This record gives sequence, C-alpha cells and structure tokens, in this order.
Amino acid sequence: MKIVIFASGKGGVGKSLVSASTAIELKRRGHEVGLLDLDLHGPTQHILFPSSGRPEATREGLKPFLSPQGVKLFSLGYIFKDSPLPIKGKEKYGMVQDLTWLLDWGDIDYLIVDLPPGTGDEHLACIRAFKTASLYLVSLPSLHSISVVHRAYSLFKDEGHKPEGVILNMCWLKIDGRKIYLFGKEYKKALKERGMEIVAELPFDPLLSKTPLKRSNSGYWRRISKLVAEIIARANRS
Amino acid sequence: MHEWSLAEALISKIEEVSSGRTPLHAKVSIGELMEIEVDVLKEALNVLAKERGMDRLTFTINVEETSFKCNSCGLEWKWKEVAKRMAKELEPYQIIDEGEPTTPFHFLPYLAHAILKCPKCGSRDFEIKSGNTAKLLSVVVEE
Repeated sequence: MKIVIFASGKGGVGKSLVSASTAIELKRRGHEVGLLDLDLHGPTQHILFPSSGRPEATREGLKPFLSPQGVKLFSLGYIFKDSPLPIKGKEKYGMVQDLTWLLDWGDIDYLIVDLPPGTGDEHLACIRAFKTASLYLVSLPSLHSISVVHRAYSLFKDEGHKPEGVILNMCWLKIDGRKIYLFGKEYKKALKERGMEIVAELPFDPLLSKTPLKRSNSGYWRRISKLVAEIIARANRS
Repeated sequence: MHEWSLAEALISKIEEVSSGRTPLHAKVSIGELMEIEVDVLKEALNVLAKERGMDRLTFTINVEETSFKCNSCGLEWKWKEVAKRMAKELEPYQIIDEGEPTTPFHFLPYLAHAILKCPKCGSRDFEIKSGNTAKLLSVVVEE
C-alpha cells in the first residue's frame, strides 16, 4: 500500500478537496483507494462524502465508509458530527495513533491522508506513523500562503520527511477563454527562492462549490488527472 | 470485538519492544472509559501470542479508573459517577460493533472531548486525568 499525505500549514487552501479529488481520480484509474481525514478539530470529508449510516466495526477493526465513487473513507465527522472536539497536546497524538492502527482498510493500493492546517501534533504523529509516505503541500499562489506553507515544508524536512513539492490551488479563473491570475504570478519566483518544487497548478473552478466531487472534463479535473499521474509515477519510483 | 484488534496492536508492540528476545510477561493497562471486556482481551492476547510463537508469554491486565478535571471550574469527577446517566446521551455516537451498538469510547476514548461536558459548569475544557486509553506498561524478556 502506498501512502500519500496532503498537508499545508495554511488553512482554507483546498487540502480536503484536493485529497478527495485525488482519491476519486485514483479510483477511476482502477486503484483501490482509502481516504483518511486526520483533521481532528475541523473534519470535512464527511461533508464532501455524506453518509447517514452508523460507523461499524468487526474483529479486524473499524470499517471505513464506502463512497458512491468506490473510495473507502474515514473521518471523525462520521461519529461526532457537528460537535467541537477540543482535544489537546498528547491526546491528539494518541488519537492519530489510534486511527492509524484501528481502521481496517482491507486491500487498498493507495491511502490518501488529509491533514489539518498547522504544524503540530497531528502532523508529527502522522509522519511517525506513516514513515514511508510521500507528502505533498497544498497552497494558494499568494505570497502570504507560500510563506506559511514554507514553515510546514521546513518542519517536515527537518523531521526527515521532505515534501515532494507544492500543489498550488486556485491559481487562475478562466473568463471568456482568458486566464485571470487571482493572486498574481509572483508565486513561481517565491517558491523557487524557498527551494520548493511546483508539482501542480490548479485553476479556480466556481462549479466546484456546487458539485465539488462531480468529475467532469473541466480544467480542474484535467489538472487533477495530470497530478495523479505524477503522484503515481513518483510513488512507483520510491 | 474491538478487544481482538486491540490485542493485535498490543502483541505487535510487544514484538517490537522485545527486539528478537523472548517475551515472558507483559503488563497492560486499560482505561475504564473504554469498557473493554478483560476476559475477551486476555483470551485474544493468549491466542495471538501463541500464533506468533510467543508460547511462554503471560499477561497482567489492569483496568485504570477514569477521572476528569475541569479547566474552567476546577471540578474533579470520575467516569463511574456519571456513566449511567450519560448512557442516553452517548446513543447518537454509538459504533455498531459486530451488530451491537457500542460506546464510541470503546474504540476512540479521546472522543470524550467531543461528547462529555463538566457536570458542574458545562465546559468542554477538561483533562482526562487517568484511565483514558490502553497502554503497554512493561515487558519482561528472557535474558
């Protein structure tokens, strides 16, 4: 099983959507896929993939939910719904560890891990638990976002888990065939200066807010397909 | 039966800390909050230990009392003082374990922070002082 972690440092950059889209595209390509939402305070995968069922367990462990697209999913949101989870310090570490061994994913080719924003307990516990995982950072193409994401890059690198690179989300909006760069184009220089490689540039797609996981032939999904091909190639090389 | 998956994780940990030596005895602590059936856990540990060739391995399992402290009003309380009246409130969060509705703390004890509140002031800002999870306390290996 290959493990792919999506992290950031910065919130609101689209990690969860990129994680979910990647999982759906991997499944479309014939792979068995699991998606683990490790955002303890603000899980969202249960909103992107709603289910009214109760979580179930067997002797082998906690069973992930199965999405209509065939992706196996687990998010704490399926259990505690809209309740806040003010969990702190070592308990967060413990919760991540519990989730990494408790879930019975069965035979999957890829496990996609969606981390929360920040550089704290969940992030460290995750890279300790998934030592062989490849890690991608998601950022907006704004200098502000890149600066915060670089902090996450440095943390993971210092911990011996160098990220593969950065996936830039919401780079441009296409109007009448013209690309409007929402945050300018300085991001390429800013990333180069900080030694971070660009793995993918994704457009802003207004339709995603209505039907976020409906695969189409849009620019966003074409870029996701290209990103997934790159993730597979890198995973096979490592 | 979470006891079996828990036993699986404990046996793997015992194997890891024994580093190729023969484990003879392991001490395990289980948080009361998890409502683990100790007899089932012990049976699972014995079966799995034998399957992995740890024939001489014996176990001591202690259930640690669960206690809390509120960071807002300072109240300290024990799980057993509130468990009975919490049963109804826990129902929406139950996990179906082999067809049986089970407390979510059985699997994920830290979910207490999403579900419980201080019985005095209603704050969610509390510490679980003891009895929150399963721990491998010690392993005696053959010298």
